[in-house]
Amino acid sequence: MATSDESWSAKLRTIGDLDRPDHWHLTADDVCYFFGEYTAGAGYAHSRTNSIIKNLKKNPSLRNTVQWQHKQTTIRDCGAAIAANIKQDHLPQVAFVPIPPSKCQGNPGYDDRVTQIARAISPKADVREIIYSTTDRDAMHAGQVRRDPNALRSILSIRHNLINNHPTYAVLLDDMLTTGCKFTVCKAMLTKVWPNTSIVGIFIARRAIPKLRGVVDLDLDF
Amino acid sequence: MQQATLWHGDGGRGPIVDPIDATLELGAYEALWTDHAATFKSLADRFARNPGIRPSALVPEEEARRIAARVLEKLRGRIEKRFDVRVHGEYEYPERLRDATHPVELLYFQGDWSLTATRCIAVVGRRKPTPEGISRARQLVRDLVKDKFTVVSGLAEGIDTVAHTATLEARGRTIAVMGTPIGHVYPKQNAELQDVIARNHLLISQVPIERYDSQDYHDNRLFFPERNKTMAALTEATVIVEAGETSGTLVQAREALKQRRKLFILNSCFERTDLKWPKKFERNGAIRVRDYGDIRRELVG
Repeated sequence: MATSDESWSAKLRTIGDLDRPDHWHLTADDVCYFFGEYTAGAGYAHSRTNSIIKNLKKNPSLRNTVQWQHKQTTIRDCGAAIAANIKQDHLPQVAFVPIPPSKCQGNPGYDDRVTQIARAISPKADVREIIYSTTDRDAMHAGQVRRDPNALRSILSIRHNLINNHPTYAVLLDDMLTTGCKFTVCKAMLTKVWPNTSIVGIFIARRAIPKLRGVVDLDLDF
Repeated sequence: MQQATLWHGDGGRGPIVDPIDATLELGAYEALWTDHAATFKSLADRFARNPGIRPSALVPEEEARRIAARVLEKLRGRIEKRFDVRVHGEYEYPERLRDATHPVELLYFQGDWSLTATRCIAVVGRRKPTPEGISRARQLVRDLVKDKFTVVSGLAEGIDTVAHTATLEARGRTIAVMGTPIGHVYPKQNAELQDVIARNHLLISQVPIERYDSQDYHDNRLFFPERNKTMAALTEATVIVEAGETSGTLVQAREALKQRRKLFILNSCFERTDLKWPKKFERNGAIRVRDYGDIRRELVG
């Protein structure tokens, strides 16, 4: 398993002035952290980060196969890696909010891997699926698939029954940081319900997306 | 023992343990090099004395931020495409780089970093090769590419250039570990090659931008042998095609053996009666290569 080696004890890296242009929806006010770097394209099986992401994205249709065990192991490894990077005395003050997957709950392709990673951080972790998708993103009109933040916002909703007990910190969690669109939209939604909470993002990997001819393709779920 | 001044020792505010801010580290790394007594050895010694610290622990944050902003502006003016750094301690920093005699805390790069996760073999040699040396380097590279190795070299004139170009011709993968900074074309005649490697392969440099800019060629020459130590650490083996008795290539030969990497020396080097180094290295564990099978046996089995 690519994830079960010594380097998984690595520190989280902050998105700063150097790498922010790779995620052009992020501003200097957005605090995001990541572990590895995903390399797009076929033939990159040699990258450990790619193996992690590949395992995480194994389709729910593979449940009850050996493939699924790799996914579960990777989820546990990711949870442990995040746990090692959270100050233990801060943990009771942190809520982990998964960035919702592209499919709605109830869709056979719905994959709550990010929620599972959050739960693997600690049995004590405060995991709240506050934000959810109301429409499958790939079911959207072709013109909307190249979404802008407003289009994305229009298909996300808040579970208001989960917002009580405002935490000091909220960690928006996802497996991949691409343009930063999903993070900024979810952060704006959380800020409305938790105005005094400090919100950061943690991602297993980032992927640099070249900004091409103004095309806004924000949901690269590859 | 010299006591380091720790500026950011508590890992900052917020719930994350000691996160790595690569921009800050870049500025701090460059700041450490503004001390004219700084060398890769002195810096490596300093970090060895203070295990686990990063450059930002040794430089006031304001200074590091100021220098980082200046360096980023310079590099963005010089480099059209994206560039990045790797910082010791982050997930993508290969632990094997710590085997170098003077391990580096930060590396600049352009291109596809995931190539460092492939099996990497260094092919190095003199800047003024013989026609036979060029021909041997080409054949060697073709064989390595066929066995799916990534060919690593130093982008210098001569054998290094042949190693990179022959890899590209064979549609293989290549990494250039430069002795000059990113954003600086060297040697000039390799401008296009450097660009292709930066775009489609991987270009690495540990050379500090501002220190290099402030020095003349004479002082900057000292960066060349240092990158050979990093190249030896990055690769699982080094193959020497040709080298003179005082060649910088021999720095890498010594490093490879010291770091317990395999060192291969082409047989033609042994046939030169005026050279003493091939036998010396062979006595210390280097492998004489009469044909590619001698390399393949060691690396592929």
